[in-house]
Amino acid sequence: MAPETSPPCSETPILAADNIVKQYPGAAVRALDGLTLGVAEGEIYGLLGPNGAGKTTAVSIMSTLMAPTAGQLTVLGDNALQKRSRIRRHIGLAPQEIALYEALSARENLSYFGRMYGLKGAALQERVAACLDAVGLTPQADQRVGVFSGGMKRRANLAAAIIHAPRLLFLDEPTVGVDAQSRALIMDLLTGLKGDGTAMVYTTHTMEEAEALCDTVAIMDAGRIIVEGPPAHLIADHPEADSLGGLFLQLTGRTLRD
Amino acid sequence: MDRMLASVMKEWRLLTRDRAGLLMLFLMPSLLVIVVSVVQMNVLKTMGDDPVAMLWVDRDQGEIARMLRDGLETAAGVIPMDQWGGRPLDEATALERVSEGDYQVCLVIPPGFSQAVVARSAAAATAMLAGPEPPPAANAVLPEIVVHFDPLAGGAFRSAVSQALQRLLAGIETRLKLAAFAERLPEHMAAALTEIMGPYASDGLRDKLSETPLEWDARPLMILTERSARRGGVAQIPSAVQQNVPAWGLFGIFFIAVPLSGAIVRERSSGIMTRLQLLPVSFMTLLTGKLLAYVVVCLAQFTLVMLIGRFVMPLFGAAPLTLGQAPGAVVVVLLCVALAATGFGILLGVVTRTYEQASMIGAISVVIAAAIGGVMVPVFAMPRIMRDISQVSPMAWGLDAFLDLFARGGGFATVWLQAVMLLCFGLVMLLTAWIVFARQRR
Repeated sequence: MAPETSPPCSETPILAADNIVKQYPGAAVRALDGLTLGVAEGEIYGLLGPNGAGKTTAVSIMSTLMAPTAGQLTVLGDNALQKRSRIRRHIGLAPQEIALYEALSARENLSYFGRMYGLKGAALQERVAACLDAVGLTPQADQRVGVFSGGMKRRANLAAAIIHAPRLLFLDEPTVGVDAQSRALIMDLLTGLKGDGTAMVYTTHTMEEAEALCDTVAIMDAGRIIVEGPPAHLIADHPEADSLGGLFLQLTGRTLRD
Repeated sequence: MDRMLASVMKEWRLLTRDRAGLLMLFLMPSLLVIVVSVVQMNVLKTMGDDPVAMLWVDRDQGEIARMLRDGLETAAGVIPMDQWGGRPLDEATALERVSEGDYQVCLVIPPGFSQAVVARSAAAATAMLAGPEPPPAANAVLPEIVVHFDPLAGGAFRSAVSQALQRLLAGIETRLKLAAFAERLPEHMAAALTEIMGPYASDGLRDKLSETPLEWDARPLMILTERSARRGGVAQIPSAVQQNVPAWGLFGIFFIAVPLSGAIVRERSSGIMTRLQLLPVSFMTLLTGKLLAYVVVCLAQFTLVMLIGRFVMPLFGAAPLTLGQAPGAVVVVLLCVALAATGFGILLGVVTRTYEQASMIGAISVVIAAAIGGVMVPVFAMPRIMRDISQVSPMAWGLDAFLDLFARGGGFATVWLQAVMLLCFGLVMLLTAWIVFARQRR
């Protein structure tokens, strides 16, 4: 479900990637070939592309998990390649996998990750409770994640990504396999985070979701950004495409990638 | 510190909620100690402490067969069984019972054995007194008794029985030869003196020599005493419990590599590792948290196994475990072993790609390390090449140190080298894991 209103994003740059190149050892082609993008405070940046386009590599590098072969990365004004430990406390990641301990309850998972971010005592408990409430898991807070439904796990996964109130949040297909109710809750939550100034990089294969949620989308293929801009502008600039999905297929083709 | 504590608490929660894993970690070494110790207690008894039943087919019914039987019963702790189904045991039945494994040993004494041996001893004495040229009788076929073993009887058992028989036969042979010699010596001396002295030899000389007593003193000239060489001068043969508690406790500790590596692989495949990598803490902090949690498990495991050795094994008739004279050194070695095992588990978790790989490689490598490390078969009983190979197994270092402390009366001065080697092994494992992990992130 699309949010009704999107607060305007600030122009303060949170993330700036400049000509990022990634060549894996032994690979014939570059996984990223001169990726350049910027994400401002309160902006939701949609990264779209077929499988193998380089989205996961781009997220890994921009979230400081992986070092690029070449290029510059700036997060919150700092060189992210040199001050990884310092900026990581401001980065959140909701990977596509359910990156939670299934034998622990939702509360225990959030408490653990919260403590690892330096939260403790009453502040930790309040933050855990707030995050559980934000994803609608307060009644199930003390149940083990292993017994959760797919949608509940996905929401808990998102809660763990925001436990430390990050200023830059990476979301890798956060709505895969969830029902309409969970999808709506997640959309509302992300809109709320946007309103709080959180910058987000959002990868998805659901074009409608990107069109509705993202301030800016970039369509990638073969490690490069083909087009970038607000969804409405991109569609307007390509009259032959009646939607973001149509534009995506037009630019990346119909050939299967895997 | 709070982060490390959080990490330890998390690992503890995960461990305590994995009931199957806990059962494996705590139940397996406990059962192994109990079962193997009880089994080995019985094996040891079969080879010495308890009487051995020997099927006895005496077709001779002579004096030597009787002497041999008496000697076996009194000196070697053997129970000869010459009846089967209420009837005298015949050779065919005895061999059938042994070949089917109902009994492990059978002795067959052929007819005329005693008579033949006495004749040979007489001939031997005569030959000795006659000079360098032996009479033809001394070259005749030797009288033979045959001992039959169950094909599955172990080498040590065969050796023990054979040696007992050889010892008794040698004693009987000596006695027979001396008796024959003593019987013939007076007559031989009289003849020789008569020949030398000629007409000066009196008629009473032969009678006088015949009356000379040639009875041998049956008391032994020397004795062999068996003792266990142990530091501190305390003579005590290590029991099966004393050997099995450290051996299988060590095996259990190293088996922790299986759940530990599996947990790391699961973290990686589930994406948790990605989230952990993004935390503003070092990999070493995360690793140390995991390490501490599992080291505590190792300590708990070994403590449990020691308690079983101390309080449960006596219920099975075994002597209780004693910790030796240096409990502090036991703790130090235990910590080093725990570090080595958890280091190995962490490296395994980092280098393997799937849970199946980790558990398979982990289990096989631990079993192999245990086998070459002397957990299953003592190192001294291995072929030379395996004894050399065993020196590369950390389990051999740990076991050697524990046996030094538990059974040989050693202290820290005698086990410090093994402790350092285990410590270095653990650190090398952790360092390698860290390097491999860092490379994987490039």
